[in-house]
Amino acid sequence: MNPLIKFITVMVIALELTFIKSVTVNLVVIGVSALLYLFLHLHWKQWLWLILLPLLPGLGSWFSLMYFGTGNHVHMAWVMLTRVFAYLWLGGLFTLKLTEEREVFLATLEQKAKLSSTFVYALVGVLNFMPAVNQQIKTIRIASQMRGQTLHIWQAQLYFKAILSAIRWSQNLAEGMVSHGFTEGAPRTYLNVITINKRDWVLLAIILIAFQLLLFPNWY
Amino acid sequence: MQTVSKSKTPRWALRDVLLLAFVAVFIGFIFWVLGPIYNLLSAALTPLGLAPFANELLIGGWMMAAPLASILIRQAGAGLLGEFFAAAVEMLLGGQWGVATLLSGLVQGIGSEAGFAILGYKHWGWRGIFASAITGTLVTFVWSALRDGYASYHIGMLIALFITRFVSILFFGGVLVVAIQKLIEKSGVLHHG
Amino acid sequence: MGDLVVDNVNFAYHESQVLTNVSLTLRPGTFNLLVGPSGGGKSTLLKLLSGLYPKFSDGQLTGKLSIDGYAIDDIVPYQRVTYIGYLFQNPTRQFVMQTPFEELRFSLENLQLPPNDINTRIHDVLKTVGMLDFMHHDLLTLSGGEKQKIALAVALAMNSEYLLLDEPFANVDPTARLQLIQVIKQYQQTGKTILITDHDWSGYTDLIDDVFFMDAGHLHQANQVERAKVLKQLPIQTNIETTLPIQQSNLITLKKVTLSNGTRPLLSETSLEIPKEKRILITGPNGVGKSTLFSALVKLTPYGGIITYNQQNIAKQKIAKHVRDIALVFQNSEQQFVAMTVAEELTQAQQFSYYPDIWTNDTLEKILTQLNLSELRQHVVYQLSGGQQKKLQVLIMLIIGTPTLLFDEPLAGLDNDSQQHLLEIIAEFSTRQHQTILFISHQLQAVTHWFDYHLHFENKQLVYLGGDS
Repeated sequence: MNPLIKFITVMVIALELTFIKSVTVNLVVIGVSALLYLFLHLHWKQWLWLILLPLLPGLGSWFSLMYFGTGNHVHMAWVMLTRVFAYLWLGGLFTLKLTEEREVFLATLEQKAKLSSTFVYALVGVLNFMPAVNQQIKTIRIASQMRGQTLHIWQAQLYFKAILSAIRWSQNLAEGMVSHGFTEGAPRTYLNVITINKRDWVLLAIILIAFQLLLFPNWY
Repeated sequence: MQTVSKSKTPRWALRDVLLLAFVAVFIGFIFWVLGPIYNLLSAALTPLGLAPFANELLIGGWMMAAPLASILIRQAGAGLLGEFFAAAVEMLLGGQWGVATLLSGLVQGIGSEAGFAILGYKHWGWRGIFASAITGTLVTFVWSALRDGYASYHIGMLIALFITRFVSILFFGGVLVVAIQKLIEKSGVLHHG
Repeated sequence: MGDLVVDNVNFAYHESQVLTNVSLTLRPGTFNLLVGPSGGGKSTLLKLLSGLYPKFSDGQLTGKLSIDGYAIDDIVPYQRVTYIGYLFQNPTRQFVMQTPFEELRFSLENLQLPPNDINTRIHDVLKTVGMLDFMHHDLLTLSGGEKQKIALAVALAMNSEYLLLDEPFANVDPTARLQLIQVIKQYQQTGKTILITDHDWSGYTDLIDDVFFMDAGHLHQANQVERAKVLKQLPIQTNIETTLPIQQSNLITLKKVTLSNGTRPLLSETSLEIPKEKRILITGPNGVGKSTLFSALVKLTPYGGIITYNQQNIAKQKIAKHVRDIALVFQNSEQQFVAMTVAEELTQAQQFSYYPDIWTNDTLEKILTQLNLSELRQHVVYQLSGGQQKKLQVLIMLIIGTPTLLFDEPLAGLDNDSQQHLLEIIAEFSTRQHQTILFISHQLQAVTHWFDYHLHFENKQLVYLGGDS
């Protein structure tokens, strides 16, 4: 399945889950996701991750609502616990495969969703700069410690130095891109032309319709 | 030969978009360091039923990219875009919250953007920044009411959560951003075209 | 063949004139060298020729800069690059993609090349620069020389009529440098015109057609005598008079230390001692790992083995305390600043100085005058010129008086007078403050008698030179 189609599916369902107060619906989403994970041959560590990760925020909400809730709050506590699991298990279907599919995802955004190439390549560029960003923040802090000052997260100076780096780097990268022929708003050719199968569209439609039917008893 | 002067100028200039993106990841990284602290805090507060306060305390930091983007680029949509970039990068790097990050990023971006919009995109100084902190709090709080089940809390809890969030956004997204803006202006490193 | 016209060009930046009445004629198909002191306007001229300026600067341009009758900066980039290619000094910040293949693909897609031609051309140019095996490697793991080969491959792929190179070998080791010069020469022989700036004039003798001088914004073509002087200059062989260190109190000890840049080893297992209160020069080819060694000493980058300072393992030391023992004078001066104006920076440094008695306001005033900085107290540090920033930065770190100071190319970009003044000041105060100085420099003429010991870094080895050896 094309990652963009997968992304749309996941986003729509996640958005709807936000408004649905049903433990059953959440459990169905969790169940279907679990079924799909079986086909993905996850490592046991990934399974552990899937189980532990939602536990903290899920329980956080559960306890809060049990203690400080009002009205039908016991029901809501269970909705929240299952909702967090549903969110993360559903999202995982997209994100767990993202490292392999990132390029196709971004290429689809550029070629099919017609997102401006300026945005697509800005995103690609900063993603490739991540290790440098991490190192630069470290350097900013250590450089300041050499002067006897420790920069804290509540101090404007820390952010000023970071933004200064961002200004310099964005200038350099913009010059680099332009010197490699990048032209804002101009057409480009594509070495890898992305096609989305008809099957993907049909699948998207089926999943979304099925999900709406599932919601039917909860329409109130 | 194609010339630039005869082509139409894009609304978003390459250099500005890259600046937004870099600011978003720098801010993201600074607060990423807080991830483990957030988890600890939230775990400690869970048995007391106070876990949501961990989120409320730090939300201002996670939302900083938006007002910063607005004051740096001074263009409608910059705040929304900045926050969206921050969330997209986190998602694309496989951050623990994945798709959910993108949704909340969008909501936070809209919330922060609204403050500048209400003032007609005329005030990029402290007025705009504080307006954005207020709208940011309101919009994200409505979102939390829906997504995080806040609507089911009794009123005392709700007020406490709201105040905590407002203070956090007011500090990180308001006071701190105003101070940062002062430094940037004084340094003269940025020229508003 | 595009007809390049540079006629009476003036360029001003922040009210200061960078280029004055510059006119330039490049004979088609020639190899041209542009020389002159740093800060003289060479980079600015190249950026203007490439069309990146004035768009990506805040400067004001007057005069004529055109190719085939079109103003250079008005041509859309995807067409402009087929006329004029550009190589940056620092290749790291000019790539948007992750691998050489991807970067080339991105560039050729920008040119709107048909997909069928893209693969062929990528293979061709990578073969020409000898980097076919690195096609899918991560660009971050490549050495400076390898990165510059990829940047050159992009320019070849665009088949630009003119190729501009701005100090392209600053991070490139000597072997790779000669290889790159050969590839550029071959490219020129296919009818292209080359304009290159380089502070090292070796290796060009038989290649260069015309030489241009640029100083304080004025450009002129070298006459026969000047030209001969540049091209005959041998690689600078300066004798550094030092001895080998004898047994004495050691401050820093490396025990089986290794360094690497990602997956690429820079230093193989090395054990050595660095004596206290001495001045030690560190030399070695570009890109060999000298800066990485400094980074490791201040715990900015990881290393293998054990480094001790005052018999304490630095790995176990808290970073905030450690960098009050060993501090780095960064190559990029801006990194060092923590305040806004020159005066604020100085006050901060005095406040955190280990030797406040030495750094009285009177002393400071005297030194500032020597360095031509005293008029600049109220200026914002980010608005100073590169040379002024460097002098201020070195002064600040001397005021702090950290027991061990690591200087990474502090003389680069300074004129001869400033170099001498700065060295005298470092000598005077580091002696009075009992500091240990480690000093990376290429400006060897300036520093022959200045050092106690000399460490040389080459072929993954770090050894002391001097004396009878």
